[in-house]
Amino acid sequence: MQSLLEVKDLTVSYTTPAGKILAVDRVSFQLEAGRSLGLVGESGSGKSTIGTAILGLLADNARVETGAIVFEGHNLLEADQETLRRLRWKKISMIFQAAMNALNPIMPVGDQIVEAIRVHEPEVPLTAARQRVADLFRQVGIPARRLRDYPHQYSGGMRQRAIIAMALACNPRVIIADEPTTALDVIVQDRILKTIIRLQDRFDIGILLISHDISVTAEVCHQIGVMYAGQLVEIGTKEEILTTPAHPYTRALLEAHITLSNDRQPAPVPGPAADLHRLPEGCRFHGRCRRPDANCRRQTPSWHSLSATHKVLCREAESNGN
Amino acid sequence: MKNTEIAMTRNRPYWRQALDENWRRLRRNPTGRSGLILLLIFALMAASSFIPPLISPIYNPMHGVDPHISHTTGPSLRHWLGTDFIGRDIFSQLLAGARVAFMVGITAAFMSVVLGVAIGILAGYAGGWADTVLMRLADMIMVMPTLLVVLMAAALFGQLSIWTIVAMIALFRWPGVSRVIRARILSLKQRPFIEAARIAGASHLRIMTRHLLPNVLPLALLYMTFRVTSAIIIEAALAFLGFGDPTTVSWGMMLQWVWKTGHMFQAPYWLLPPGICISLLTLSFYMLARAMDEILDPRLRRRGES
Amino acid sequence: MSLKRYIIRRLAEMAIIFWIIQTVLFFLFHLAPGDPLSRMVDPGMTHEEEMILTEQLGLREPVGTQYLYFLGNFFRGRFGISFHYGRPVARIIAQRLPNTILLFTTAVILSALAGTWLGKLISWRKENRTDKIITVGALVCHTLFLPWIAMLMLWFGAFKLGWFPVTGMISPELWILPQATAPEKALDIAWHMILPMATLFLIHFGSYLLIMRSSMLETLTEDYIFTARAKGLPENVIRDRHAAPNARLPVVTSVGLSLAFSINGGALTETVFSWPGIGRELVFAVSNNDYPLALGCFLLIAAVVLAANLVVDVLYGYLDPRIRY
Repeated sequence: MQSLLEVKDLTVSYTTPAGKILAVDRVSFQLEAGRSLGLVGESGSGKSTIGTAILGLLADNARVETGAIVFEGHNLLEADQETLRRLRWKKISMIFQAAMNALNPIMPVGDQIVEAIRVHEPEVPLTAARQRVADLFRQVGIPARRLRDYPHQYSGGMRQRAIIAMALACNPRVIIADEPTTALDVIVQDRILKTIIRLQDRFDIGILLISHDISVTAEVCHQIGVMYAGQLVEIGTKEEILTTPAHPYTRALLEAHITLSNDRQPAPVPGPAADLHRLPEGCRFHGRCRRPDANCRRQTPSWHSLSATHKVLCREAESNGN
Repeated sequence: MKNTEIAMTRNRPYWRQALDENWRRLRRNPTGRSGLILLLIFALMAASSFIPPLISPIYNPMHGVDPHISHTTGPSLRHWLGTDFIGRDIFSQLLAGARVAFMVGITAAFMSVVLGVAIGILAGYAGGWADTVLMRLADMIMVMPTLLVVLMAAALFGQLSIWTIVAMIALFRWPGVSRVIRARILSLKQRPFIEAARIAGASHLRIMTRHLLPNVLPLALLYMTFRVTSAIIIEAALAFLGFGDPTTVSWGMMLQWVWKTGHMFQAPYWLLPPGICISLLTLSFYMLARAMDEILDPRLRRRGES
Repeated sequence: MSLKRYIIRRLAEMAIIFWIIQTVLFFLFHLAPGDPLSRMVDPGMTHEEEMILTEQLGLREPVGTQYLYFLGNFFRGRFGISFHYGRPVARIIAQRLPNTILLFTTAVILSALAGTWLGKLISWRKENRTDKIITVGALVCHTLFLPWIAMLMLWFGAFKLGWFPVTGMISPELWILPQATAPEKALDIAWHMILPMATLFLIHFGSYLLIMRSSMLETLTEDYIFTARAKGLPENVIRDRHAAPNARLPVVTSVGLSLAFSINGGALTETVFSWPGIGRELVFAVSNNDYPLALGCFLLIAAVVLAANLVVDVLYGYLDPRIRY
């Protein structure tokens, strides 16, 4: 069966004053309709770059080096700008972090959603578009009378809901959710995640959830991919990742989360974050790994399948994988 | 702004280093480089302004009258840019004007920035009613058109000397600077190094001069460069209207002579040079300021540039 | 209704500022060297005229009382009698003010519209040659010395081409004709207005363009511009509906901040083109030691700048919904 969205061997580089770096290094994964995949990793691991690459909105200094992004059978990296523009939001939309300035501050929130509908479905009359936005607002739990309000009149949680409503406006096939609950308090965060799960079931959408918090992905996603220093290091079903994590980094992430589970702020994994300008030889994680051996410093690890759905990029898996 | 914070602990040498670095970037910036080159040309003009009168008294910009000429003449070998209505050499006047423009522009800008920085630091650091009073005062002065204010002063006190004009420009051009500096101080005050200095027992004066001042110095330099342009323009406009210091030859005054003696249409060789010089000199300072602006901090752009 | 309260508060503030300006001027008039009386009374007046005027202005009273007279007379519109015209200053100002407002506001509004429009367009093509050329052009416009460019305009438009009148606001020979119609007169004014307006336009256009351009470049880095792109909006919609309205806000602020500076330019333009406005009147009054006229013109200009600042602030609040009064 063909996947809804398939990222194959994607490599993205950034040109910085200090030189060229690979923010995303040969990452591959698949996303099925109605399923969700969580990408976890610390900042700088390349997870957000993947999201922007899928939408074709990489920064000016970024370049896709190799790979393919196949959506419904078409490679998006080969599509022209106009095709991509028509595809954005209509087919693939995005949930931004509400703490960001993602909504235009001087335009009523409702209008910003109506605008998206009218660009992609010009045949929809204005009143019908407004009606649709009011329905969406009800589904995410915002009173319809707040359509005319401006973003600054919303609370953080409401802004996040409005952004979710906006992402759903054109009935997309895929939603990329980039840190959808970061900077919200725990209760609001919980409600937002539940809303996402509920809506996904109803609309049969594929969700790519990007987060630095493994517990968020665990709550929402069927599948979890862990990223480190631009590489995907482990991917598997939620159960596999949570119960039998194979990569030391995944384990560290889970432990860090458990230690501080009270306020739900994940503790950072010990050790300095990877510097993409000076990546070590061999396994990129060996400097922070708890049980590295001499070979980790020299040999680049390769993929090992632990089950049909679970694979890991670590030498350790070789020794105890069988 | 990381580097300036480190500057606090290691003091002078570091911000000197930062200054060197910025200077290098300024010379590499195309706008900044063009501005610097133009400024260098004008500085050469100003520096050589004393030469013509040495060659012959007829080249004295103010009193030198060519005995054979009593009216305006076009460019010739004897008078490169021609002569004005009583036979004075336009080229020597132009050189003397460069000196006056630099003098007025730089001193007025320096004074207004010193005033603006002092008031900005004081208002931002003291807060409370001192802040309110000073900023209200700034608002009030900001709505006054400086040129017209100096005109009123001329009406009341008669002929103003060049230094009175400079002082008045400084007195009415500080509020924009102090608002920017104050905003900067308000955010600096939140930084830990100020708290640390206070706990270490530094006096208010010491905190203001040793800790806050170095941090706003680049910004002050930037605003000084912007102010030079406005000071030159105000002095030139004042001279053009006939209220300049009659003992100096400024470009604005040259334009006034062209205009008042009715040579506007007949003597382009006389009308063009002073105008080009004023415009180019302000342009070069402005370009320099914009380049500095880009280098220092893009987010500070545009506030209170007027 | 909260807007109303804001305006009332601002008006009160303006009144205080204006009062301070008046007070400072009054005492400066008294402190300045020479006889204060001679500054309000024309030496050429007859004795009776002088008596009436000194009575009206309270010029024989002690300074404190004089000050109260001065304030009271101001609100009654009595600014004294102009030495030069021999007519009440208030009437001269009332005649001149509309001319200034006509020339100045038309030029500022037109240049703001054109400057922000072009600034918006070129910011979208940054690092392109057109952008560079226009930016340098705007820089040059912005720093041109106004009286000089005004004279060049005259030299070129009125002398070389002979298309436009040299000075003034009307052609008297047309206006004295009984059959001259209103449209003819309006056209005549417009014809006289072209050169001074072009001068003011050129100077302001450059600065508005530069501010709008850098404001746009800053706005383009905002997250909501990324959102707009992600929404698949066409580029011109992103530019016109999302970037430009936000980028316009700092431009409005700077129009307010630079207003006082623009007024200087207005006075210079009026002077060179002999446009019968209030700025030229002030320059004229100062040159001729016509103290009552100078004082009246200056106070009025200050009042106009204050009022214009209020208009700018209200406009800003209207453009930015985040502002609550």
